Amino acid sequence: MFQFLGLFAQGCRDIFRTPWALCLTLAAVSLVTFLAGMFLMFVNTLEDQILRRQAEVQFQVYWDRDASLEAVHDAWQAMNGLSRLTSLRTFTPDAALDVLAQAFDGQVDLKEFKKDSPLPATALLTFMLPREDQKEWARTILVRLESFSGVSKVHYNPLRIDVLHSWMQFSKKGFWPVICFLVLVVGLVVGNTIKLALFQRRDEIEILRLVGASRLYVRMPLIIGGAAQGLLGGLLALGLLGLVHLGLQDMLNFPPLWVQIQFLSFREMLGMLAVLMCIGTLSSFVALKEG
Amino acid sequence: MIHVQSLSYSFGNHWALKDVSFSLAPGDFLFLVGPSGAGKTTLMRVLHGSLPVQRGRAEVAGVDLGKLKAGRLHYLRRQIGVVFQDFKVLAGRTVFDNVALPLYVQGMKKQVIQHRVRAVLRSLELDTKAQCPCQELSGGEQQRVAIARSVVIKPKIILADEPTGNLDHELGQRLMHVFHQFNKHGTTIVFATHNREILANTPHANILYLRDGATVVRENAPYG
Repeated sequence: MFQFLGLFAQGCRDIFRTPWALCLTLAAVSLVTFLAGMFLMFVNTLEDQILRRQAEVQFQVYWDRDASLEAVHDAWQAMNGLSRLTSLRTFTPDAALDVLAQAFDGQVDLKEFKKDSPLPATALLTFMLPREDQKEWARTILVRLESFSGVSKVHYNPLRIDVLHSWMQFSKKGFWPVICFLVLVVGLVVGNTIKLALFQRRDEIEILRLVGASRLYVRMPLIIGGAAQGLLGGLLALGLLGLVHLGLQDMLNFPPLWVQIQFLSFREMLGMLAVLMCIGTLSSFVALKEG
Repeated sequence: MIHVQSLSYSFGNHWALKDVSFSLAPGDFLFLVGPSGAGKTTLMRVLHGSLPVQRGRAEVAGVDLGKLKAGRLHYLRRQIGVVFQDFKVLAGRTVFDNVALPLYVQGMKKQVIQHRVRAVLRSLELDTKAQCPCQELSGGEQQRVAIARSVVIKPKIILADEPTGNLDHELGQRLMHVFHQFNKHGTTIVFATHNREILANTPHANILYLRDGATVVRENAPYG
């Protein structure tokens, strides 16, 4: 256990034995991670704006003309309890007639229909769309609304959901190739640094092997070094991203845009550091295998 | 302690060892003698596990090298001290750190390391240089550091590949005396050299003459 801790400490110490190589690696890892972070911030801001501006969908529910008002009122009450509902506007047949009359600016007289309105009872429900599976969610809501007693038909605009879905898909599909590319670059940078360290320390490694050092004893400090370089590069990049975000967060936050640039979430930051450490470890391991 | 039977080794089409056989008991001293390119270093490297057994059989400290897995090699090396012509010491580290290295890699306790290293440095008259970086030492002192590093583990076997090759005659003789001392305490020593003068002061040793990888002459002398 003590030897393990000793090797761990040695791995962290050893990366400072080649300060120039360390500086170059940290610069490369930080810059690549910074690029990834900026891209992530862009995706976050884009998603936030999409959801904020286009994330509402309306369902118009029409009842049968002969549906009893009592049943309609019961349905309205039940609809009020639906999740993600942001507003509910209801129209009795008479109220619907009034709205129609207003739409004609009083140029058409609809009073004669008052006693026996040809319009059905209706409800206009506005929902906030979920972040995931919008299409499936919309289908579920449609079925739920159609199941209310006396409901004749339900209308909504699936195109709006399609547009939102497409934007989200686009941001996600664009996200992964870019992130994979940047991860590959980080891996190559760290791997090559470890190869350089191996080359610089080949005499020492040879002597260690001659005197009976196990593979773990020789490799572990270098693998820990790779992970430490990934972590340090990630921390530097996050610091840089924080500074940039501080300067840019309100750059587009003015009328009519009102776009506030979103920073990375805590989970994303942790994920980024974990990924960098994994890449550092993995690329060191590969470099050692080849070396 | 060491059994080699019909051992051959080739680098591509060139056979560096051809059908070499010998056997050493605990406490034996073997000189491998031959000109440069005779196969001495190749034989040493096979015995140390740095090169694989291609043909024949080699058993060192009870371990069949042909069957030894790479992951277990370090256990064998912890029983073997090695000394090279070019010293192979860590120039930037102190004498103490160099000598303690094999004990560190075995995970020994600090007190044990301190005790053992001090004792070995005293026996090789290096105790006053313990904290000196090796790059500040003379060639003879660096070779003594290499010997100290090889004996600090109390090895069953010492493989010395031309350890006096870079030293003057007098220093070479002094180092030979050190090897004799360890041999007297029961350590098996395989000593490669192309300098026949060294043989004169070790009358009890076995001698294996190699030329172009093959055994030319083998002389066995009674131990002691």
